[in-house]
This record gives sequence, C-alpha cells and structure tokens, in this order.
Amino acid sequence: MSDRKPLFSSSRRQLLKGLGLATLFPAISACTATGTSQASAGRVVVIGGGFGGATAAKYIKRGNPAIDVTLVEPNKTFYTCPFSNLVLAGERTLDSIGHSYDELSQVYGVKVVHALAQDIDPVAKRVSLSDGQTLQYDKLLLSPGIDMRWNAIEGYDEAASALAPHAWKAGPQTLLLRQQLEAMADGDTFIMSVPGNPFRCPPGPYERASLVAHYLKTYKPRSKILILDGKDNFSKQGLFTAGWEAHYGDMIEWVSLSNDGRVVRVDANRKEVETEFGTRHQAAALNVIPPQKAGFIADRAGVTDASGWVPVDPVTFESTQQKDIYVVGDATIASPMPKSGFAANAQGKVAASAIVASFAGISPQDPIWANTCYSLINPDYGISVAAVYRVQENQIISVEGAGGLSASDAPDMIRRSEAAYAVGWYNAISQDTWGTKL
Amino acid sequence: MRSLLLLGFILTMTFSVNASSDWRHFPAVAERLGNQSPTEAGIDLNIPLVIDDGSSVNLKVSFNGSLANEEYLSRLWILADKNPNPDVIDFELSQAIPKVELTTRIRLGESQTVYALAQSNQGNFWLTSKDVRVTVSGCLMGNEEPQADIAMTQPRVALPRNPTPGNAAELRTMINHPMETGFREDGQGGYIPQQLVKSLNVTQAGNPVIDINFHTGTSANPFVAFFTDQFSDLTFTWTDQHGAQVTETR
Repeated sequence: MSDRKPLFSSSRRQLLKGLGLATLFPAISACTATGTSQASAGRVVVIGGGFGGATAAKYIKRGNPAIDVTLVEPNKTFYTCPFSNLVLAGERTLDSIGHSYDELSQVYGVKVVHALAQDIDPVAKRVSLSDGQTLQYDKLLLSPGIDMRWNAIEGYDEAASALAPHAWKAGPQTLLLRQQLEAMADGDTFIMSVPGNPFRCPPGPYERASLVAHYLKTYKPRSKILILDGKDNFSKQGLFTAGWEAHYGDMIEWVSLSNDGRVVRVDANRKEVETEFGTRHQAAALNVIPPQKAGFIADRAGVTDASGWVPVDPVTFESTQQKDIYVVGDATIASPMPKSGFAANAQGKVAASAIVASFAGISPQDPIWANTCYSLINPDYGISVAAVYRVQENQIISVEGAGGLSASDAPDMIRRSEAAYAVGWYNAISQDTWGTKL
Repeated sequence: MRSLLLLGFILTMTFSVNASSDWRHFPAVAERLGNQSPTEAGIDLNIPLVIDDGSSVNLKVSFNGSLANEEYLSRLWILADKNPNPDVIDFELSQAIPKVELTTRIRLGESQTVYALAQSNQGNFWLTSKDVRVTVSGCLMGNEEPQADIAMTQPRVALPRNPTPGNAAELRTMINHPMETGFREDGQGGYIPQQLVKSLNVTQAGNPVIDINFHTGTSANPFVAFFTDQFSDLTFTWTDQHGAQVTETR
C-alpha cells in the first residue's frame, strides 16, 4: 500500500456501503430469548469473552435464540487492548476500558460462567473448567486470544514480566507499566522491544511509543524512547514517522532489525536488554512485547499447528483440524486480516452465522469483512489503515482498491477528525461486543 | 497446489511427500541432481507456512541425516520455484562446521514452494521442501530511492556469549546493503540495475570454514547464523558484485 492513497477512495465507499449486516449473518430471528420456551436448538460453548467470543455469543443468540449458549471467561471485567495505550499515557482510566457481561446474560440469555477453561476433549465434546464443572457442547467456539512465548527471548519469562511488563494483555500489566513510566525521572530512557510478525495488533507498539512520548513530552521532556524492533518495516510506518517528527522531534528512536534491533536477551532485574549482535541497552522503564502464540486452550483442543497459531476454514472459521470447533480472533491464521479487535469482532459474527446456519441445516454465506485500525499519535492526532477482505479460492484475500491509509499530507483538521473517529469506533465496537454504552 | 496445501493441514505426512515430488518439474533442483535421486529425510526446513511480509522471511535449515565415515555435507542450496530467479542463497561447507544448522532471511515474491537441497562430499543428495503462502509480496523491496553506487556498511559478527573451543555454538553475521534485485522498474520503461552482495567467506587460521553465496532471493542486509566450534583467528570477508570487499576479524 502506498502512503499517497486518498483516505476514502470511491471504491472503498461503495464497498463499505454494500456491507450491510445482512451479508455478515442471516436474519433468522431477531427476538431475544426472554420469555420463550423453545426446545434447545443446539448447545454452544464459547471460550473467551474478548472481542471475538463476546461478539460470537451475542450473535448466535441474535441468529437463533433457541440455541443454548454458554460463555466461559475467568474475568468479570474485560479490559481492551485498544485504548490501553491511553491508560499508559494517563489520558484514560483502566475502568474506562473495562466491559462487563451483563448485556450478554441479561438481554441475550447467554449463560456466563466465570471460570477458566482448562481442557477440551474434542471427541467426547466436553470442556472442563477450573471450578470442577464440565460442559457438553455440540459446537465449540474458541476466542482464546494470545499467550506469550515465555523464554523465546532468553531471560524473559512470566516472572520477568512482573519487572519488565509486556502490557500486551490489558489490565494489571497496563497499570504496572504505567507505574514504571510515572517513576521515570526527566531524562530517563523508556525502551520497548517489539517482536517480528505475526503478533497481536501490528500498529500497537508504535501507537504506544507515540502516546508515551505525549506523556513524557508534557512531564519529562528530556526523556528518550528507544524502540528495538525485530522487523525492518511496520504498519503505517510513513505516517508514524512523520507524526513523531512533527510532535516529538527526536524523542523517539526506532532501531530496525537490520540495524541490530532484535532483542535476544533480557535482564529484567537490571532492566537491560541485549540485541542479536551484542549491543546492550539499559532502561529506566522496560516494556518487552515478546513473540506470541494462540492462547493455551487452543493447544488443549488440538487446533494449533506447528506455528503455534490456528489454521481455519476461511468461510466458517471452523478449525481445519477438529470438527465442530470454531476459532476466531488473534489466535487464528487469517492473514492478510490482522490480529485486531475489529477483525476478531467481524470473525465472531462470521463464525456465529456459520454455527446458526449449520444447526439450521443450511450452507454458510460467503463472508466479507472490513477492518480499520486507528492509531493515535497524540490524543488529537489520529491515523488509520482500512481494508476489506473476502474469500477467493478458499483463501482470505484483501480486496484490491478497497481501504487504504490516511493521506500523508492531510491537514491537522483531518488528523483531529480521525482521532475523534477512533473514539467513535471504540464506543461503537464496545457497544456491539459487550453492550457497553459509552 | 492449493488442494495440496489444504490436505497438508490435515495429513501432514502425505503433504511433505507429495510436495517434494514436485522437484522433478523444477529445473533448479532437477539439473543439480542429474540422474541421482535424493533422500527425502534427514534434512529439515523451518519456515513459516503463512508469511505476512515476503521481504524478510526467517528460514532455518538443519541436517541430521546419516553420513558415512569421512562423509560431510559440502553444498547446500535454498531454492524458490516462483521467485524471478530461483536462487535464494547457497552454502559451501567444510568439515569445520560441526553441526549443520543455518539460519538466514530470505525474500519471497509470492506464494510458492521453497526447497533445501544438500549434497555431501561423496555426492549423495538430500532434499526437502515447504509450500508457503505469502500474503504481502516483498518482491519490490519497498519504495526506497535507488542509489547509484551502493557500498556495504556495518559489517557485524556476533560470537556466542561464552564460547568454549570444541563445543559447537551459533555465530551470527550481517552486513547492511539493500540487495537491489534488478527486477525493480525504474518508471521509465527500464529496470533499476542489479547491485548485490555476492558472498561471505569465513576462514579460520586461513582455512575455509564456510563460503556463502547470496542471490536475489536473499533479503536486504544479508544475515546468516551458523554453528562452529572455533572462535578465534576468524576472518569474515564480504564481496559485492563489483569486487569491493569488507573484512572483519575475530
């Protein structure tokens, strides 16, 4: 993609117009389960209450309220990675990015179980939970998110993440990194280690650097940010680089893979990292975003491949390795779709539609997905990349000419608008996924 | 090919056997083999099956096949059947390589089959392959401005942290150079001229350890990691296609 594409090409506008909800899921029934006494049309267990799982649970119920849906999620509040960089910058509270499961249980009749899914028997179609329960399913939907590959970087394990947080799952880790940023003295260095592809939220590290710079510029203006990267290029690179120069001067330094940016060893006690050609860097606050893989329950279900991620049928998001197990979100191999909350939400709808269709004995529709990733250079300066995806020859492809990047020469007014659209997007997807009214 | 890939997800065993049989139609492999048939075991190619960015793909090839007395791997080629030039990178190995486990970064212009072909000093061959899908083509190396005379800069060598002579450990090398392929259009009906780093030669006390030949399928800033058990008196010489050389010693 070129940096010079207009923000909204006419083809993108037309395509987006064609993306009615009806293309994403069949309108079998829109009434809710309350007050109905239908016999169960089938039992679905959904594991994981993030963007993918909560959306799927809701849209299965919307598709056919007679389907019995149980959502398994250990936490009572889900904190989103999107907008967690604003929490790091002190621009938002953690509470403001927390979402409950009240709408799912109270409005849609989803049974919400707050426990950890520990094991899956794909033959007996049984899930065992940390509270001792076992759940029987006809169809299982996993939205397991990511797990960190501990020790993929020497010295970086779960214990080290208490000293050098990843903050790549929002919640306590976000607060821990925020505390480290607050403890920095003016003139100190913040170091972020970024993995190679694929990983959750491709533009996320660079938005994080931007918003941390926004905080430091205001409170500790002599400080530095060093990004040590396992890649030679990154999402929205031209837009980020220009935004950094305009707003933060030389505060942010990005070291690419080919300039010895890849971190191979971490000493979390000393907040020190070493790169593959032996350069050592010491930080006052150290953020290590390690290589990742599908959440562990995907392994237990037998749906991951040698890559650690989950291959799926692109039309239904059913596992190619285990029948009747559907997997959505960051855990899947859906490239060129990114590992994003927006993509997980869209995939959740597609899998919900396929499950509803399968119980009804009808064929799933060919899906079309859209994804937009907004990033903030500062709270009033937004940029975005958007794309539309469909299935061709049983593979997901990016529709040529649809989507694109923010214009490289857009005036500040447009950047301000995009920052407002980012908030609009966040509010809308939070309402769609968890029913949170913002 | 696509049905093969799908089948591969379900039947990994069948997949590897079927994929490797395609080499008969791939001259870069078939011509090197001549009348010989390769052993399709003992050599392992580690590469992501789905690749987000084809401009820099991590690849590791390792060998654990059985060798006769005095037999060692002397040649190893990485080949990609749908790149404009199938040559990716190749290695001339000596007995000073105690363990064949080579890591590099390669370029893949589109979805295709990547092969690793190895030959011993006694003329025996080993072959393996992987079908990979590239979702963002790295063929055109981004939009960097072409440069007239590209010099190699920043030669880097990293020895293992606590090397003990006689114990095999990994050594890393990299040099900065954009590896202009010659396949990039110049916007005026022609192509930007090819400029490549051609080779890296490593010697220990004057004796060859490993010779590495880079091609258009090698990623920008050629990177190679290999195992050795000698960590002193090492000379690393990179040579570009104009004959310029950069040397590092350790």
